[in-house]
Amino acid sequence: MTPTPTQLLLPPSLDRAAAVELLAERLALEVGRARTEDRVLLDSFDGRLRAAGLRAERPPGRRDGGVLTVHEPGAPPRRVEVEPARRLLASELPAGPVRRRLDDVLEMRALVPVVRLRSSVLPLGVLNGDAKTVVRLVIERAEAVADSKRLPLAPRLAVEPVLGYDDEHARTLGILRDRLGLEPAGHDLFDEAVMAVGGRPGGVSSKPRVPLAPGTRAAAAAAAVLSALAGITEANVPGTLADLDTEFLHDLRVAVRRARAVLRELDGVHEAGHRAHVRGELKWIQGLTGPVRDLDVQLLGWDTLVAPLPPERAAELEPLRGLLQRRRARELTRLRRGLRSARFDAALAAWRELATTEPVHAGPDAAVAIDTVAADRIRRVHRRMVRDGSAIDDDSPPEALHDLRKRGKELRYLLELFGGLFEPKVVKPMVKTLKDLQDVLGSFQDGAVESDMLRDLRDELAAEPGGPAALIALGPALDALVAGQQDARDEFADRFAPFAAPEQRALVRDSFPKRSR
Amino acid sequence: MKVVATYSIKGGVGKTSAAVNLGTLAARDGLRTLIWDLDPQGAASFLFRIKPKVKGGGRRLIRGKRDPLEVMKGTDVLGLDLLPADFSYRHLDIELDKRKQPLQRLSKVLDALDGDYDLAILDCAPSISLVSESVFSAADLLLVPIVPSTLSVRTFEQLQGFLADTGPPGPAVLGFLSMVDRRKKLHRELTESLPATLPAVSDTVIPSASVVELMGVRRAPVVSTLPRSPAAIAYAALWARVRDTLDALPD
Repeated sequence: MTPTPTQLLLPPSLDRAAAVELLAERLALEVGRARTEDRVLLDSFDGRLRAAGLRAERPPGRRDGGVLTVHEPGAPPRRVEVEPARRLLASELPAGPVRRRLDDVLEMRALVPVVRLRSSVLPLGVLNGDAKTVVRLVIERAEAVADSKRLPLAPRLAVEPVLGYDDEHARTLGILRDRLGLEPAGHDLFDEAVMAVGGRPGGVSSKPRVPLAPGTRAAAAAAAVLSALAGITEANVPGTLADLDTEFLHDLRVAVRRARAVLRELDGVHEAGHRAHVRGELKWIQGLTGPVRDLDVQLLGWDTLVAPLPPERAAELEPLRGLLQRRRARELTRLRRGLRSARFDAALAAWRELATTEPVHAGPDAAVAIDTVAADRIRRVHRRMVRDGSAIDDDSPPEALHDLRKRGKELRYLLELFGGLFEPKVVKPMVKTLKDLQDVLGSFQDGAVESDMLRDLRDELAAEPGGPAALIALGPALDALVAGQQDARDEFADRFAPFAAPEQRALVRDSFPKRSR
Repeated sequence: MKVVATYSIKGGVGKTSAAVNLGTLAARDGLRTLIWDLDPQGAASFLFRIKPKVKGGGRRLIRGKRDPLEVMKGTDVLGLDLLPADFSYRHLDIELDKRKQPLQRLSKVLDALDGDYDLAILDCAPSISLVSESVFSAADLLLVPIVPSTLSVRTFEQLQGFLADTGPPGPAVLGFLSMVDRRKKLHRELTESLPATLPAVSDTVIPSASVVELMGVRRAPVVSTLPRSPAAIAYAALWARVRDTLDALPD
């Protein structure tokens, strides 16, 4: 395996010429051409490129157009010219190596600016006896730029291996560390730049990472989780308002839904009136954000919708896409109004107030250990799902599956938020069987929502230019949706069986004790 | 991963020069590129200052007993790696003949690199042999340098005939005039007439230039050392044609 690139710190007092002189005393060097770089580092809001070991950048200014460059260790820089645009999605980039590389990593997430970096860069090659470059070195003196402020970063020497020359790389690193006394940098240059401007390397995760210890008072645990969820919600508001990509809204909705689940599951922790008010407001936010999300789901699933159709029929369905997009634009205006309203601000403030360690008006369970409360809830919800799911047969109405899915979400949130308090060997397989079950219930429900929405649009679609042909094309697309729904329903029994197996029920009983009241 | 082979029955016609320059340009275009130096003389390896030796032996590589990534070497061009030549390749025909499905052997080695590279360029030894047929089987595109002479044109047509007789799926073929000296009447005439009469011949012409010959002294691709020279500009045009041809091929 090729060694990974390393960054070493250069003494700030050492200028570039002195650094080269120092290195040349110990290494056979080829000195490249010095250059200055001014670039804006880009990543998705949740840091997908960084997690995949990629780095994307573009020059500042030009209203966000220019050449987009993607770096990957050991690979050549990939470049593509991008037009100034409101947002930068992989799927909207010109075809080529950049899009091919970014498509799978970013999926539907947009690239957003993370930090601007100005550097002077000097590339160097460490040569062997044949004057072949066997290690690449880069001296970089950089500053992060934010709001016209320049924040100098520690000067670096990047040491990059060349494939097939591992010994030379190890030898060079040894010389740099042991003979020249250069220390490894604690952080990657770009992470340091992000931190310098107050950002978080790795982006903003949609998952609340709240480590909870067994025995923690339920009020403190609820506060920590609710506070993290409020933070995620607030962090996703600007991207939702700017409509940068669909996932800002999605993550905002998931955070709100999780918060509702916390309030529902830990119902004795807070004073009933305050809790009911916040739950009501969270429900209002879910209602406010729902229509745009439903339309996003339709538009994101467009390729799947038209997949069963021959290409000419798929093209005839385009007026439907136009209709969905226009409807979404209208709903987005409504959503923006809601998110900018005083009611939304007040809802967040009430949520924050509830998320205090010691609630002003505590409920009866505030002082109970969180693992006691969570275990009881996990046990009850699982038992209820087993009961409801076992009653489902071929004649059961769709609502029965829908209700079971809602319970499944409840259980999933409990396991996601509080699963860390219990044995991983119990929680992990439980999450797996639950996920398998939720997948088919989700396919069934999404198919129903989608086909209902499309049926509701038929009159409006008929009045569109090209509407009659689109309506004809819609028929087979709807048939395929219904068939997919039926497939999901047929799979239900197989997915439900391991979830509700006697040994699984016994494991749940043993691992999540009933609470004595 | 797309596979291009620079191939000719004749030696000294510009195969290696094309392989190293196009490989450099491909990497510069953002493609993770490898050159496999299949010529036991190891000219491509020499040009990149890499020892023409496969660690553990070239035979083991061909037999599938050696991970090609473990013997790959990074060149001085970022994103361009080299699978070095090995002197044992002089017996590659015999080695392939001993194996089951000899025509698939090179493809199998390349298959192991599929996720790691976007483009492989095979720099072949001059011959028509079992190795050549194995190359034809592995390649998506044969890139054939043609020195401007009547015999070379005939050889190119013979190659096309051979591939047509072998039947699909064979590689696409793109010829290009190489080592063209515009002071010579025949060279000028063929430069005009050949691309017009043979659609598989590119209208890009690689000139006979001292800078190309000097690559052996400088041991670096001319597109890196003298990017504004006519030869480098011609290689850039040839790369554009190759890239378009590859993009048009099915995945």
